[in-house]
Amino acid sequence: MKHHPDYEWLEQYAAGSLSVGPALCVAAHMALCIACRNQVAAMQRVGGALLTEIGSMPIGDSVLQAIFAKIDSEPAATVLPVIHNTVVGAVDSDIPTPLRQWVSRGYDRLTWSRALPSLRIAALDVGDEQYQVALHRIGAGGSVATHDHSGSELTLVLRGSFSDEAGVYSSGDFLVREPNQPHRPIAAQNGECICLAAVAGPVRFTGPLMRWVNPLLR
Amino acid sequence: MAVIELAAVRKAKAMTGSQEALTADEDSWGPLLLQVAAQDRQAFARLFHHFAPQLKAFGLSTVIPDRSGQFADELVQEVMITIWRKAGSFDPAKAGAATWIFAIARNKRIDLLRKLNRHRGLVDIDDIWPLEDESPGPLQTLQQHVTEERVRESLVSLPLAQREALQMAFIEGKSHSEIAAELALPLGTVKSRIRLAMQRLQLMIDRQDHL
Repeated sequence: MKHHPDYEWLEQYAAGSLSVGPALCVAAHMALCIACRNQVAAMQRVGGALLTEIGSMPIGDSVLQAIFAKIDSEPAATVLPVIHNTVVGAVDSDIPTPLRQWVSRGYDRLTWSRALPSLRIAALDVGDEQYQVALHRIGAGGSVATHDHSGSELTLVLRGSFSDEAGVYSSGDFLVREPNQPHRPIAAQNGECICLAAVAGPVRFTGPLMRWVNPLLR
Repeated sequence: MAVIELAAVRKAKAMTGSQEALTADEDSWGPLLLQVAAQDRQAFARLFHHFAPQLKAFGLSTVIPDRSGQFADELVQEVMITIWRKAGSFDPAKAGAATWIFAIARNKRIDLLRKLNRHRGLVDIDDIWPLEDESPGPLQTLQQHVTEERVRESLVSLPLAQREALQMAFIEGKSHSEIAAELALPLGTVKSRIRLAMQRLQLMIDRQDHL
């Protein structure tokens, strides 16, 4: 793994100001990257330190009583299950934990639609108004036509690897493409490539023959 | 592990006689959390009296027209109930008490804001922002290289502009572009203020070091 989220993504993730789409990409990378987990754990300490310096607003004892009442009214489920929709059998055990709430039964059970001959897309409904989140699947050796974005595109490689003009990316690698950085991803010859992608705003294909596909990827 | 816990609980018990001692040494909130994990309601009440007013201030910093007060009250209640339920998973070797509580509050704010905006689909926010690092811990020591306590001490030495940016990011939950818009500053200025602050607090880890 060579490509990590920039500090600014990690910091906004730690602060909780990222919307769910980008946060999911960062979290899925972190599930695979102990260095970024450590970095976020360190940054979160700023939140802890600031919380204790924030000052205090008066709060009545009635609130405490209400909390105790609520605790008493609920069954003593003190041990919360830590099962994250565990995949039945060992299907796709490489799915990072944060993703499992959408991919609980493995990649193949998602609804994939063919966006281009070599590219299939499965949209994930994460309820993010700004970012569209989807899994992208490129067949071995397949390429996606040169395209650009009107907003940031975050990509996390989940399986296999792909390359573009700027480099080679394999499992766990996290990359961000800003608008006006047209690129042409090509999957490695030795296997398909599955990526998690969050895109702000529509995709624009920049090749002359590709304009008609644009509406499909909105 | 049990032995360590018992020692921590003893330490907390020794301190329960003195409110000042607890306030002076913020790390004592960790042992108190361990008592809460054992369903100790007195310990929980002490924790409530210390943190609930801060959590309310945290909630009020989220500006929602006409509803900030109600939002803050709901946040306090949700966070405190989560503390009660999850205290057993608090690991003092991995995080300070206030940092752990901050993470819960951050998640609850995201959750409540999404409900307020009537987002479709139930998303488990705690899966996207996990409260615990489940990985085993040779790197724990590295994680703790600058403790919550040290961060708190160093915050006062930050230039005001940097501290303000951190405050808006972590307490008000604003993105860099929202901060830039509010302060009428270029986005790059906000980014560099936060980055410089993190450097000064010695919280930047060179990720190439241990891959």
